[in-house]
Amino acid sequence: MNCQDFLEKLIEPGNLAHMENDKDASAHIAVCSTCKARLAFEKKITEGFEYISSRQPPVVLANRILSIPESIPKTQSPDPVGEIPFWKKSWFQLGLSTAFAAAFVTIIWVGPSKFQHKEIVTQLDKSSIKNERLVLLPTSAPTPNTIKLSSDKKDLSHPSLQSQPSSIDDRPSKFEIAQLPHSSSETPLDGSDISTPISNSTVSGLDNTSRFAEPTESSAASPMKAEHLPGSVKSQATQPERFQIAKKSLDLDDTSSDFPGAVDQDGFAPESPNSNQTNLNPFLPKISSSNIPHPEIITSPPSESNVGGAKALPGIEDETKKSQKPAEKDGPFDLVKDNVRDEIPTGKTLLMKESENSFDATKTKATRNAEAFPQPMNQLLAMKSSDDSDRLATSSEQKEREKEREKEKEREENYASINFRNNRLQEIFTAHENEITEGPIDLSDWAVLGWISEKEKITLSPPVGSRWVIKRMVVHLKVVLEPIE
Amino acid sequence: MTPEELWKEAVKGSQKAWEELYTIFGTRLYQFFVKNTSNPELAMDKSQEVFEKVFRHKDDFQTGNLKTWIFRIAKNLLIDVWRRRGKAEILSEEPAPNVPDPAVRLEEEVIQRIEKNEMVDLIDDALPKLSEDDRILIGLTYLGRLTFPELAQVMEIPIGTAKTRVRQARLKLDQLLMRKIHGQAEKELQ
Repeated sequence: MNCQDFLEKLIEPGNLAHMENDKDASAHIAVCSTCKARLAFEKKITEGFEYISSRQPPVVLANRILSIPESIPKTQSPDPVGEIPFWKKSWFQLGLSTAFAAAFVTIIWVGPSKFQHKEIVTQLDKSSIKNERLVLLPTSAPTPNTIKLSSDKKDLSHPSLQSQPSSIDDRPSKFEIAQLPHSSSETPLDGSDISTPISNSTVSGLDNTSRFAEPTESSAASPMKAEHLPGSVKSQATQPERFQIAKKSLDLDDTSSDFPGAVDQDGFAPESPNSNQTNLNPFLPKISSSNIPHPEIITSPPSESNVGGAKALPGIEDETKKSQKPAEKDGPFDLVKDNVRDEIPTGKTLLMKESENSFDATKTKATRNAEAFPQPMNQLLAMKSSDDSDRLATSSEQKEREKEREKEKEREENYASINFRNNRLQEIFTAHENEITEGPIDLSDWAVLGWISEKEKITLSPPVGSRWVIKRMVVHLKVVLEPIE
Repeated sequence: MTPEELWKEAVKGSQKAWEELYTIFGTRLYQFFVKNTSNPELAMDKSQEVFEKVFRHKDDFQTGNLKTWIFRIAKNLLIDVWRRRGKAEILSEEPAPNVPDPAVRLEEEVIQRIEKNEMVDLIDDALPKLSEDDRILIGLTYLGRLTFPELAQVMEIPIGTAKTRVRQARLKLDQLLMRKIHGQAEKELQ
């Protein structure tokens, strides 16, 4: 028996009385004065504790405790002591966790599509609320393939609906998000309350609208019944083919259309005196003569690539296609983010806007967006690519990054050093001294206990053929590296 | 009779068995609470509460170790007291050491000279300087006279952990006691 074994035996409660009869212990005491002194000390301490525990409490306590059987009625308490409550029992926890898992899986597989559909329908339902003029559009615009309007819902993009206001004053202002005319059940689209005759301005508004949201195939093929449409639209509804021609005539490149009252020779709708107010589509910028500084751009002779057909100008064609296919973008279509207000998905208005900003067809869309938006938005757009983010980072940030990289390298080098690993393990051991005993260190256990991270578990691992061991060095316990035998 | 046999008798209505149980556990419980709370009034209340709970829930104990059951209730009550009071308790200005001080060596002669009463005073002085976790372990082991398996059961920890914790707590207590003993011995020499 060595000193360690002796001390371990000695410290165990109840062993003291047997120590003197233990042959091994007696033999060790005979040769080890320290352990002999330790035994004497242990005896004194045990005596002291026994004396303390035998100190009688006040008599009052004895009286109180002895009277308990008489004072407490025989009825049982409903809450048993020492019993595990049901919510801590394993079967309950197992059931609960299974239920959560099932719910989670259900939400993952079923939930999103259902909820998404429900949300869209809910938002569309708002358009049918009585006297509700403001319709909240979904933030991510529905793609033509994903959203199908139910038959009882009004197609908001239909030109007949957007051209309904009977007077100029009733028409939406530019700053309203999406103000629709009365389309509730109280004011049906029966045309009876519309007394305004057909005018150029009305047609102009209609044209702008048609430019923004082209009718779908179904809506173009089966327009609304004529008796439900206002006068200006009624004429078009009865003449769907002409309507198509008129709409086409307003497109950028088709200058050969002969729609009489709607467009001029350049293919534009004629300017009305109140043109600033007649823009029915709030997403469109105001169109005025001042906004078209270079009308000759439109009437300029077609380039070689455009000869023989009504094609968009070079550089604009791609842009137009992109804006007409929001679903093909990187992320979901966002009303604000994708700048629907400022970018019209048809060639003419786009050209006008870009001409204001000294349009440069060689610039990419991201570059132009970055220039047009204020600084925070600019940064957001620019951060889309890592190259851009590097460009935006200031020199101080770059320096900090370099410092961090250097520190990381230094740390890795440190972990490569045995001494560093040893010191780190010693630190952890000191911090959790009470919970660690002598013997080989199991880093996995330490990781499970949360004393070290998973990364540290790897970096602190001993070299091949050796292991970390906690050993008593004279008095202190220390972490040492030991070869595996 | 074992405590469990006494318990069965007490449950049947034997006042004598109940008194016997008080004799076995009453004093230990009171001292356990006194040393851990340093408040005799509170210790009395809590000791009484333990016996009340034991008696109220007498049907819940059928088999097993009565001592373990009683001290588990006592431990839980003590922890409740600490929780209500707040854990931030500064026991002494000088914290107990974590490792043995090699400068403080045991000498049998010095130890043999210590009277029982002196040792009791030393323990009374040293115990409040230990942390709550160490005190509860020392209290259960030396005042409650629980074995390591019993202690592990009461504290709801593995036996190995119980041993290690008691060893660490003892190490701290011994350091405090030895320093005092050496201080006294040096004074006597001067």
